[in-house]
Amino acid sequence: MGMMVKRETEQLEGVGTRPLATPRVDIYENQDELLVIADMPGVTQADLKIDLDEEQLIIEGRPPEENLGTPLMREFDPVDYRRSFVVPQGIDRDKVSAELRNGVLWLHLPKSPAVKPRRIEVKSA
Amino acid sequence: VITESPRKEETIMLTWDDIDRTFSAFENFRRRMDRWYQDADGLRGALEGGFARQTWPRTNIYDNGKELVLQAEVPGLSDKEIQLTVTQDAVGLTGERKPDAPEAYSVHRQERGAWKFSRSFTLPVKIDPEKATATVKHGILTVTLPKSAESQPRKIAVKAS
Repeated sequence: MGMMVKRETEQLEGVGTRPLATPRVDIYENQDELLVIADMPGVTQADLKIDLDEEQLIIEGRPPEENLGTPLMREFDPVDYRRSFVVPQGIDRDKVSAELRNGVLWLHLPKSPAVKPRRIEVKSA
Repeated sequence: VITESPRKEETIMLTWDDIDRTFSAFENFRRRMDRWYQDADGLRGALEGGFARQTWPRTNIYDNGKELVLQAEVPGLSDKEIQLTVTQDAVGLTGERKPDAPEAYSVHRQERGAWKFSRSFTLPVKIDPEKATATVKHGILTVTLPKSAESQPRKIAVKAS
């Protein structure tokens, strides 16, 4: 809910601001990491900002605007992408890694060893 | 967890008159929808998995005088996954984004999904298909369509008599 309120206030349109868009994401998890995959067409490494504080992950992308001429047909507008998530405890912050592939962000959030499930071997006596 | 509905290939044929007539109405509707999506994350994924995906990939067309420029949002697609056909007055765009879900992960949220698309656009002026070029960069496809000689804007000098 806190996230919702925040977004609404930031959405107020001002002079020179572009509309905010919510990138579509997939979120996966295995025993080693959380994996966030986000569609952010047009975003390059230089336009991307990822913030991870104690509990919140914020992904922001501001693709550059090009002047290509007079629009004859327009289905998408220049936007700023923004989305935030509440991240569980136990993420190894120093090992977070991100890559952009063809306008798709792959963000790996490795779990710290303390929260990983451990397999205890049962030895026969 | 939001799951994807099964997709089928859709062809959306647009003529220029249609666009002209319905453009403003669509635009208005789309803006409202966009606003709505931003307000409701969960709904957004579900809706886009359904009917809103029919217009994939979202496409803009510009006129810069000498050329028409078509741009489409194709996140995750490389040049090998997009096929373009260009004639004097139409552009066809087909492609497929394959599922990219990692194996052996559990799913918390799935809004992206894979899609197949096929769209064609009727152009308002004749272009030179031989000179058309296309690039895909950071998930944006850009097709440059130079206008044919007869479609080029001409400057006519006005002489005092």
